[in-house]
Parts: sequence; structure tokens; C-alpha cells
Amino acid sequence: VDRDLVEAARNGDREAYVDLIRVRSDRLFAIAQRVLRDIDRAEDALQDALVIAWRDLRGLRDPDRFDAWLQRLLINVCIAQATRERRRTSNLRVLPIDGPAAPDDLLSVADRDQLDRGFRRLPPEQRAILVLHHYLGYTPSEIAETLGIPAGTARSRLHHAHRAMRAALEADARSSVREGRPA
Amino acid sequence: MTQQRDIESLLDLWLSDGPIVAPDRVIDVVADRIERQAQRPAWRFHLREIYVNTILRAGAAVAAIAIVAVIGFNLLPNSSNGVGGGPATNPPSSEPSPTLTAAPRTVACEDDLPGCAGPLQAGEHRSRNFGPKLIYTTPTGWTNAIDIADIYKLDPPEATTPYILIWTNVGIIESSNSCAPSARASPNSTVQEWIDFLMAHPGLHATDPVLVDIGGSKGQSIDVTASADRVKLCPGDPNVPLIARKTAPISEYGASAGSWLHLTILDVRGTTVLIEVYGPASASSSEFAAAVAAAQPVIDTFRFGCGPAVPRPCTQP
Repeated sequence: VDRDLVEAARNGDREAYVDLIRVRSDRLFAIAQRVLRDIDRAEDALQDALVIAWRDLRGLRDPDRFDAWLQRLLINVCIAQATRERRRTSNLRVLPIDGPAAPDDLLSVADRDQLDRGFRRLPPEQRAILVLHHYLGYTPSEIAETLGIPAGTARSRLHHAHRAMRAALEADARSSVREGRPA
Repeated sequence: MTQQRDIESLLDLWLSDGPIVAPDRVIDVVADRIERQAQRPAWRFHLREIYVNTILRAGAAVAAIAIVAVIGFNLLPNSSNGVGGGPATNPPSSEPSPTLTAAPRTVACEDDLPGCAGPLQAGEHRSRNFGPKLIYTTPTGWTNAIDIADIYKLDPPEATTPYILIWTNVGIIESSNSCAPSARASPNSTVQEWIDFLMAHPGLHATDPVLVDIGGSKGQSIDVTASADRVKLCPGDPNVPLIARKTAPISEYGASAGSWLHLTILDVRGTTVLIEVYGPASASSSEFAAAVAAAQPVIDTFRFGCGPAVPRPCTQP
């Protein structure tokens, strides 16, 4: 059925396209929010990605690859937006936000804040890799397919992203100690 | 924290937390925006970014510099031969008489590309940006929808009728044994190289080529069909990539399964020009033949003058 909808949308059927994206918007929004760490920016990125997808839909070779194609497009939009945002805010320090703890108690508020700060220090490409792997559960091969990169490159980037995240957390811990924050 | 717990487990936990429902307005906003957003036409879709090797990148850079230099040279005063930098005296011009192409005005070009002439009156017209400069004659009702350095497009009066695309500075896409096409490094494949490529392509049905002479430029024409049952290069992929643009954005152009292409490939003073009549897969062979017959009289009027893509002295037709 989705293949039919994709083909109809490729032929200019706007209703078919809206039907296609309606059932995918939650998942895509969740991905965007996790890469960008901001609900408003995630909403903007999702809207932009869905409009670009409509515009370029005729370029999709295989309707069965619609989901991977759309996800890749969204990731690229998020990376572009995060890169722009990073330039604007590179001189700003992200402050911890006091918010309600998550339902589970496996991570403390301090842990979450520290992870958030560390994650925001990463280049957008590494954030995207981590979201694909840890949120969507993608293997390096699936990441490679989604991002259109060789599997070896995906494995290498994932490794570097983990290392960068660890380094970011350690740097955050050091600065927290200097500033008297709980690490 | 990182010393106490594994970083991967932490990321699993942390990323699982967060919003999982998109605001309802997202779909409403997108539905509204796509009402005003046309889809990119099939000819322009970027099937995928092609691999461009170092040689090709260098070649493209050199070509870009050459084009800029030639354009700049052409803009110098007292340019007399279309290449620029000529003597101070102005010899008699061999330019054709003034044409009916309107002065630049605001028209809706395809995909918002700038520079097209839009609807054409009956008479002679010439490209503004496409080079080598294309000079041609149409009856009323035709539209010039694209006029950029390497692509020129003519739409016939009936919107459903196959259109004419003219390409220059494009390369052959090699995709003989994988789903990953790559552009041939040669910046300007010859007419014969194109014909050999098309005839040998495992994803195409091709007719025997025919020798042609259009406006004094010699070449060959050939009909090809992207056949669904012969597209084995990349399972599930209904398109056959054929043409690689060399100018940014580097992209490729292909024929979708069942579509029809009538290609005329000309050698214009050393520059290869592809003239393509494209028919959608929905057209029958007889409909496509009729469309080619309707387009051919316009193609037969084509002449090529001097322009940025011909980096050598030439005489205006």
C-alpha cells in the first residue's frame, strides 16, 4: 500500500503524500528532536525536510526505499540546521536545565544534564550517528545505508562519536568540578 | 559518570527519553506548504550524487575557470568574434538578423532557474546562457523553460507532448555492473563514444544510429528506451543513469523505465551537444513517434553560434 502511495505522490498526488508522512511524522520528529535537542528546531527541521522530500520525490529511485530516503533527508536537514546553530552559539555555554526527572530512576537529573551538555559539544554528524545507533537501534550497516556511506565509514564514525562523547563528558566533568557543580 | 557506567548504555537510556509525538500542526503546515511547492521535474531529479574523482574535480575546476575567463573576455569592449579580445576595429558582423526573442523579463522558468525566455513568439530565437549559443526557429506556442549554461529546454505547445532538452558539457555515466554509477573522467565524450555507449548499454533498447547534419554540425541520432525487463544493473531501480552534469550541482540524469529518448548527438566545433526528445513511459511508441515528428522541424532549424562553452575562435553561423 505504501508503495502505491509513494508512486502516487511521485506523480504529484498531494493527498497521497500527506497520508504517507502522517504516519511517519512522530518517528521523524523524535529523531530530529534527539539530534537537535530542541523541540522547536526539531519541528522546523521536520517541516523543511518534508517539504524538500515532496519537492524531490521524483528523484527517489525505488519507492520501497522511501523511508530510508526520507530519514536520510531529515538527518541532513538536522545536521545543516545544527551546524548553523553551532556557529551562532559557539561562544555560548549551554546551561543545565532544571526539569522533572524521567520516569525511570536509572539516570539522575545530573546525569541527564551532563549527557545533554556533552552531546551538544559533538559535531552534528556525530550526534546523528549516535541517535541512529542508540535511539533507532541501527547497526553500522544500517547507518551506512541510511546515510549513504560505506559500512566501514559508519563503523569508524560511530567509534569516533563514542570516543568524542566520552571526551565531552570528561571535559564537562572537569569544568563542573572547577565550577562547583555536581559531576 | 563515564567511569561508572558504560557510555553506550547511558546513551541508550538517555536517548530513549524525550518526546515521541510530533505536534499536529506539523502535517497541517507541510500540507499547506506543498500546495505552493511544485515537484522538481523528472529531468532534473538528482538520482544520487555521483562519485567525482580527483581528475574530474580538477577538470571541472579548470572548465569553470575557462568559462569564466571566456565570458569575461567576451564582455571586453570591441569583441568581434564571439571569443573576445579581438582587434580594436569592428569587422562587419556575421550575426544573424535581430531575433524575436523578447528582452529579459520576469517569466516563470522551470524549477525557478533564472534566465529562460518563457513563451516564444513565432520566429527566430537564441539562447542567452546556454553555450554554444543556440539559434533556432519555432512556430508560436513553444516555451523556453530552461536556459542555463549547460541545459536548454523547449516545451512544445501541448504540455503533454514530449519536450526537447539540449545538453552540453555533460559526461557519460558508467554503470555497467553496480548500483553506483560514476562519471567518465573525459570532460567531453565524442559523438561516437556516446553512440557506442548507448548501443552497448545493457539497460537500454537502442535503434541503429543515423548520420545527421543539423545547421552544419554533423552527428548521429538514435532512439533508446529504458526497458524495465532489461534493467538489471540495480535491482529495484527503475532508472537508467546516462548523463552526468559537470557543473555544480554535480548530478546525473537518467531515463526511467519505459520512457523514450530520441537523441541527436552533434559535434559542434569540438564540443559535443546532446539534443534529446524525451517521452514519458506513459506514451506509446506511436505517440512518441508523432511527438518526435512534431519536434524534429524545430530541431532541424538549430544552428550553433559562438558561446562560452566553445573555448576557441569560431565563426557565427
